[in-house]
Amino acid sequence: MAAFWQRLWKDRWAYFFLAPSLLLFLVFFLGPVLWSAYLSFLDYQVFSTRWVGLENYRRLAADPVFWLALRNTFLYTLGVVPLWLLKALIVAALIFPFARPIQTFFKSAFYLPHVTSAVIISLIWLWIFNPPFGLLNYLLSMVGLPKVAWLGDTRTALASLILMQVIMGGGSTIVMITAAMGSIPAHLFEAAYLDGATRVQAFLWVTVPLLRPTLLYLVVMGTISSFQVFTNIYLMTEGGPQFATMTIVYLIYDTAFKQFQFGPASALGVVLFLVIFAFALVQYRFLGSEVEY
Amino acid sequence: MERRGVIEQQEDQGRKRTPWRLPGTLRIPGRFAATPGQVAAIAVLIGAALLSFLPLYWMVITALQQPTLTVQLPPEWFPKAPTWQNFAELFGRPLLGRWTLNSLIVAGGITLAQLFFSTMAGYAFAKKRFLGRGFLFWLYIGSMMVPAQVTLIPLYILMSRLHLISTYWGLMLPSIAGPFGVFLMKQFMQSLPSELIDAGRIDGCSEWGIYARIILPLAKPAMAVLGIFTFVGEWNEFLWPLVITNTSEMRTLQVGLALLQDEMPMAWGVIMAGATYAAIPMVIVFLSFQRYFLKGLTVGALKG
Amino acid sequence: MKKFSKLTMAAWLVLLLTLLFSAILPVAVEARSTKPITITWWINPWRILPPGYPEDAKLTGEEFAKWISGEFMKLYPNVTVKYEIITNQGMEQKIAAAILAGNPPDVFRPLALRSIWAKQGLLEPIDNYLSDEDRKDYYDYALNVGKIDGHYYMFPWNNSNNGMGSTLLANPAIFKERGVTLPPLPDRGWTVDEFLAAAKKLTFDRDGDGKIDVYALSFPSKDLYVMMGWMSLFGARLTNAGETEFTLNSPEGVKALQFIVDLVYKYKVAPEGGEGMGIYDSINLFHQKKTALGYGGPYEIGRIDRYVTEGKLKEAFPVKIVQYPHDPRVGPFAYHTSGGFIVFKQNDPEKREMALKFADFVTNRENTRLLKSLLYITARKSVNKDLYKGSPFEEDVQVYVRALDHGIRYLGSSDLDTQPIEKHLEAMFQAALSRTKTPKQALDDFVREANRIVFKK
Repeated sequence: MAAFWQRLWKDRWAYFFLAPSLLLFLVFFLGPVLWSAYLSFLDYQVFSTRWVGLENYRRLAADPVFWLALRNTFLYTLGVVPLWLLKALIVAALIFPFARPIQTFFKSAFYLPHVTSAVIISLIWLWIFNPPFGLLNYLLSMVGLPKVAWLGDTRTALASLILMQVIMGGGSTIVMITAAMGSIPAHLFEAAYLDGATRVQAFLWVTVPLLRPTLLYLVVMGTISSFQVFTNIYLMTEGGPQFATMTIVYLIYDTAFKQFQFGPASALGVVLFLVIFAFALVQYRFLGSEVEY
Repeated sequence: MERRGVIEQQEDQGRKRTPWRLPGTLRIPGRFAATPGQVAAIAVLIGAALLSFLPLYWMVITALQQPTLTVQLPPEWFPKAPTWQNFAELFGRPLLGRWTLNSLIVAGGITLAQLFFSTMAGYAFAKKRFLGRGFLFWLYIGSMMVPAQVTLIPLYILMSRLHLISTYWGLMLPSIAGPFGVFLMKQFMQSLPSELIDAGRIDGCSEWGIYARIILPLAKPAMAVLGIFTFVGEWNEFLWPLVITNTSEMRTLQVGLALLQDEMPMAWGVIMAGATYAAIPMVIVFLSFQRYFLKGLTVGALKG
Repeated sequence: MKKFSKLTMAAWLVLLLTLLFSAILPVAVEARSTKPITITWWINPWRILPPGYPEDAKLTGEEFAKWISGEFMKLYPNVTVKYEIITNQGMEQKIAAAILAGNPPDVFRPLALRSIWAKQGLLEPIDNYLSDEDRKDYYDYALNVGKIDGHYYMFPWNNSNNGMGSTLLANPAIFKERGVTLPPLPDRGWTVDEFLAAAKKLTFDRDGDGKIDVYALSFPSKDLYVMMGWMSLFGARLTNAGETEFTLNSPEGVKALQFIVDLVYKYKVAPEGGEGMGIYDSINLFHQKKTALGYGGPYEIGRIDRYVTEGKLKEAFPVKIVQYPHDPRVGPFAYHTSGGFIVFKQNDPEKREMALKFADFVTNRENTRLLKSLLYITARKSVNKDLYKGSPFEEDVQVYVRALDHGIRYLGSSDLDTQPIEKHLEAMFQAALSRTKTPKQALDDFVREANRIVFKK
């Protein structure tokens, strides 16, 4: 016991730095999270609350829409995260060698779309994808191709959303990667070039490994946010057509706020948490092995 | 089909002329003589940037267009008769100034608080060993994986019990407590060389001194990134401000603009004028923060 | 269960005590009725012109709420009425959070009344506040929207839904151009055959480039009311009469869905791609004169004028209201629904009184008349009788009101909660319109799923 207190005392500075953030986090972030997890075991009504154990989960497992949503969420994430990160890495690598004004110009060009809210971006893309009035079909008709329903066709709806996300995304990622590239010591490259490495080799064997903490952050955050895709779905497809874009978080919204079933909605939240957590663990194994943390 | 073939051929030729090479990461000294590789790189960059910039451009020209022309095809890429009419309609809103102020207070307050709390906690996670470190860190990351749609109700109930509905604290606290910043700062700070901290300790720096005088200056690029991300993210936040505010006076700009969309569905001109107006402060924030990214080189210099 | 009965007991006790209290101390209650009361209410932006505003005033949607709150406060000086204009987007989350935290608004104009709120005991029943006169004045269908488990919960206000699913709009210029006569007054009704013959003529290639420029109509598969209108063509209903089973896949239902699909692919009088279209796409096509028929009632005529004032449309064009086509053996039909005000559960009897009075006040005869500025049909017979007399829209309003005589609630009574199956219904239309399933398959799949979800079959 004494050893325990001694350990705490020894670490007191760590706790000092951590405490302000931790306190807020526990009350205003973790609290609601745990509360919602608790709700998933309840039949939660306004005037009556009843413990139902795993009943909410059983109901999910029996709902075909849940499985569709799970599948779509996976497909969306597997489509978006690699493409988006690859785009950002390539762009960052292309930008980085240039002089500062050019760098600044491109970073701004890629980042600026982020200053508009997701609502506006969705509105604009709704217009781009619109079958009778949209830009995309207009371009297709100019080269003599038939119109495509895009968001209205089960075969193209999810892919259209992925495409939009990859085109619009990446700006903040590029900013982060170039910022991290700036902190790589130059002498490491000199050593690599002395050893006869080409630029591509230097990029793959020096830059990428040293970017690992940043990349790990980006992959984890990208996975989390892709798994939680909502606004685009809510504003553009509402999960349709025929559930082709139904994702877990949209289903949560539908269950909680349209059906007023907070127990099952919370159960969905827990399932989503478990899925993302598993992904993050794997990513840490894979990307974080050589980085001490 | 024929036409498609032509386009492919052109692309092929383009590729042959400029051999594809991924530029390395060495900084090219400030000369302006461009290599073919650089020209190709610029071409690719401009193409990709245009693609992601197009919707934003469309937003701005739509805002400047005569309202009748906004849904026409092909779009008028360069408005022949631009007008301020849509902006006039927007600025006719009595509470626009108040909403803007609220957004500035909320997004600005959250950003400052995030910078303060996250750098401290991130530093503890990155450079200190302590009991419960792994557990607490996974708690931070794990809690992000529960979507906001699920935690909305518990959070609102909590705020209601604390009588923080429709207050600036109610608007700000949940985001201040968010773990994103801690995660980002931790990831960044762990790549800072630990030798610097040891050196500081030998020089007789206090624990606070090491953090304030050695770590913080080096963390400036990451703080700039965090600052921009937080500000922009909070500025655009919609759902929480909508749910937590109960009076027109406490609304943020995004909520106010959404109301505009409801009042006039399909009023593209006015909606895009609103979006353009809302984007301006963020462009300013981005441009003023971003010069800090470029100071990152000092880390390498110290170590080398 | 035990907990529930305790609650019921407590509620009874409170009620009993209240009754006792008010019986013993009527004087005291009277004396206290000047105590300050604050009523909060939420409404989405309704650009209603309040009295005293110039006809062409630029409205933001707040004026009406502000005006009517003020009027009520004049009548009851001890009451403060606080309104909040809320957005459609995010409204569901906002009201749910407020309900669960125990501070919903006192009075609310929901986008759609949720029967679950009444079933969970969140709403004040208004049975005692509806005078006999009111009951006679309101259309039955309007009152029934708020009727859940035998009690009324909603003060009806407007005939709702912009007329989507109730009537069609016709562009007479295109009819004239193609030599098609509008269906005759006073009903402007037409049979399916007459409609089909007209639709074929109304679809044409204006500039001779081999491509169709104008279609007769379009199908917004995401708008369930418009689509359920078409489903009712041959008499199909969502459920059986007792609302114990979904029966939309009846032969009449299959015939109707097949007809919709045929209009697109066989007769080619509606553009393909309806599976990706929402109601605003259809409105847009109609406004751009790319379809001869649109959807909606008088409100949608008003929309055209409003768009012109706002500069979104170059010029106004005349529009006529016509009925959905009908099968002579089945007869005409129109969607019946209403919107109005609800009052959330109150603990303080005086405040309850005032909240109910306020909802009653907003929906009284005089104030209901204000809906005219939006070209809305009201939920009161007495008001509709002369509201549009002498207005340029009188004729079309009459067509609309007459169509409502054949009204059906497409999605069943308010006791049936169809919310969980609406997404499946939408998917059904999309599957049929994209031809990924035959109409029969799509209907069978929907009915099976809907019965499983709602009736646990």
